[in-house]
Amino acid sequence: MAPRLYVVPVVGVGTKTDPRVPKYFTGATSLLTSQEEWGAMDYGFEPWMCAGADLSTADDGAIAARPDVFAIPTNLDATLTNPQVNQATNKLEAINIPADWITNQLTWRQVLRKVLGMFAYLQRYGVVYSDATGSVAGLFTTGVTLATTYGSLPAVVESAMQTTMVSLGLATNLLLPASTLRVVLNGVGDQSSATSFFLGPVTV
Amino acid sequence: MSILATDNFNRANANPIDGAWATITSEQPICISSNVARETSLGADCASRNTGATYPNDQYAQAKCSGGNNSSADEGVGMLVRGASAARTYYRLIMSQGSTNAYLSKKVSGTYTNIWGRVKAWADGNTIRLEAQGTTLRGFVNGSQIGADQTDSAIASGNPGLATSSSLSGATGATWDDFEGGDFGTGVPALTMTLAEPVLMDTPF
Repeated sequence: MAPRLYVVPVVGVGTKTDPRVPKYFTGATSLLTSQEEWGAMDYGFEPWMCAGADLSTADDGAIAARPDVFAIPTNLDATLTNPQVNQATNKLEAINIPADWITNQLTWRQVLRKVLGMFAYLQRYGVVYSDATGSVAGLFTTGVTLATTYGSLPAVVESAMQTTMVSLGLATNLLLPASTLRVVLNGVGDQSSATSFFLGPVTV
Repeated sequence: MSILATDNFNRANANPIDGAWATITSEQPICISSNVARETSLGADCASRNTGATYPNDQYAQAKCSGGNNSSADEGVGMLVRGASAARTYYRLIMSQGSTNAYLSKKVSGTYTNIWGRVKAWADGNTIRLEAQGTTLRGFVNGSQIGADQTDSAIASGNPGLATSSSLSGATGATWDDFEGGDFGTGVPALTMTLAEPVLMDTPF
């Protein structure tokens, strides 16, 4: 096969005996038969990762066939077809990644850079939030959705989001009380359009 | 690259390591025994960060490592970078001689996530190195990179140091020697050469 990306669930609770890992790539759920190299970015403490690997044809087929896996085409410089636009939008929106901006005018690389920019933001948010509170938590806790406004979040969450923006050198003018998380994350992703991301053997 | 701190651990035994080291909060300490750094627990993760310099966010940690003979998936000996003062927050590269597995992981307030896995054989005395530059992480054995670069944005700052992952089956566990912590600046260049043994001459010049 060629190097490829897969959006997969996170399994594991983050303890020593049960670490958070990309499902199907390592640990008890692994489907890899050849110990291929893999690398993954998590969506902060949300239960999803994007994993990159250059798998054997058999291993690729086994993972891509799983209903909870979204396998990205290997040619990242191709534009999305209309069915792919629908598939990507539905998959990403279902896991709290804003995707209403995806069109058939964009390449997979353009889409992925924006999405992985959101991943990077929530990764840093997770550390900033834990530094402030002493515990880890995702942004999308109970009742929080992409339609939730920044101004309605708990003060500690608002502060952590603000600190994260500054820490990553991102513009903070997105963080208005009436801004939804959809708007905020879209804005974050827009600022990573020129950033390269390295996930195992895949460079986005 | 430039060296900011070194430690050959050639001094009296101490538990935990004396000098410019701090045990990562909530992890088990690392000690000095017989002129090497040594883990103190075979049943829990050990981690210590070097405080002998003011480290920039872009940094590396390396040491000659031994042990790590267990065969479990993600257990072994290795290095850490961006070890924060907050409890159990750092990146670490852990390598097992027994399984030849190498795992790059992050701990955030103790929550443990594996972010890459590779297979790499190595031997006692090899130099294991972990680099963090911007949001890019790289692992090396004896100067050769293990696989490709990896992006992670979670942990921004901290100190380099030493780490183990859980229990090791080796009788003496994991050890480190000749620690080096540094940055990517242009100060004193990092040395990678090994000095030869002195040659004894029968006839004086």
